[in-house]
Amino acid sequence: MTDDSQALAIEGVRFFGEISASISHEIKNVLAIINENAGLLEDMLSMSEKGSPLSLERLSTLARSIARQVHRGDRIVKGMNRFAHGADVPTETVDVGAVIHFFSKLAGRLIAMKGATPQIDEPAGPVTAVTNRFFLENLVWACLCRAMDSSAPDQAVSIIVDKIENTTRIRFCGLSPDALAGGGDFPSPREKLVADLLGTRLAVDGEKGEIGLILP
Amino acid sequence: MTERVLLVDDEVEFLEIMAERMRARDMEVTTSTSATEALSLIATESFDAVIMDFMMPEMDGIQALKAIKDKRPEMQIILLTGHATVEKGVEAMKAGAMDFVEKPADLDALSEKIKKAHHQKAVIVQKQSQDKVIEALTKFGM
Repeated sequence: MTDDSQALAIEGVRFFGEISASISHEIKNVLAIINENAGLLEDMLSMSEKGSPLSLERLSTLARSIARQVHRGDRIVKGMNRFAHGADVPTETVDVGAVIHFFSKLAGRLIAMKGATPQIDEPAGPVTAVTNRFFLENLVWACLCRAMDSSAPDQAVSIIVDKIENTTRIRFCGLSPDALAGGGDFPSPREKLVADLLGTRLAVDGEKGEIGLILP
Repeated sequence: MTERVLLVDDEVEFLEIMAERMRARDMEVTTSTSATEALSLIATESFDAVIMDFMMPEMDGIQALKAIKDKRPEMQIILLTGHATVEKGVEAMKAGAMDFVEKPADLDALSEKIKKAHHQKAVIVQKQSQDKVIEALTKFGM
């Protein structure tokens, strides 16, 4: 194994771990709510045994809450499954807008923890690229993290996907030029390695306050 | 005596049901969906225990824990987490957390920790009062 391929493998595992840990937190939140519902049912039964009447309306509310959490848990696990299969094939045709939309939802908690709410400006139709979906998600996440850390005060990061000639472009806009210039090295050697693997050009435009990813 | 608890989590359904169950156990519960709001609450109200999720928007559990301990050192903080690691546990305890509980939590076990928090807070408040008296006496050369 070459140094680069070893570094890529390590980066892949690191990224998979970061996202999986965040997803596991979401699943635990779902389980915690179901657990509290079950506990409340037990409390109600215990009170009923002591003569307090059971409220059918309350029971119905609890049943709806459990069903809602099961549905939510199912959605999270489906997302995790889709993410896990991102590395199945070396390259595939992907709808870039859909990948960004999916990944922003998947990493929703990590994004919320940064206090950000990125706006995704999706193209009218699918904008496709032939690439490795897993590492594209990795690079999108690296750019989004940097963009969120560099966003201008009171301005949401805007993600714009468009097609220029034969290339697909992803732009992370609304960033503060000062924050973009002063926040450590970007792209880092790790991000450059992933960009090279995908044949992607990663550019930072300090004047416009933008990070751009150009896919072949 | 009734334990006063501040429950902080961005999961509204979790907050509501947990609070209902705690109130049924005679605790006085205030809820908050963010660490920022919790910090405002602790500035004006007194709680025995602050039970707080580790991963929340805007401010994570450790940051919030440090901010609360800075303002109200007597308040006991129990962190709730979806994924407990030894490192996170050590970090939380070093930052002043009384305990570290994994979600989904067992309310009976948590209630015991809240009782302990109530006792510990009372001890700290008593010591703070004694320190003030000693300080005042020292000022007067006694």
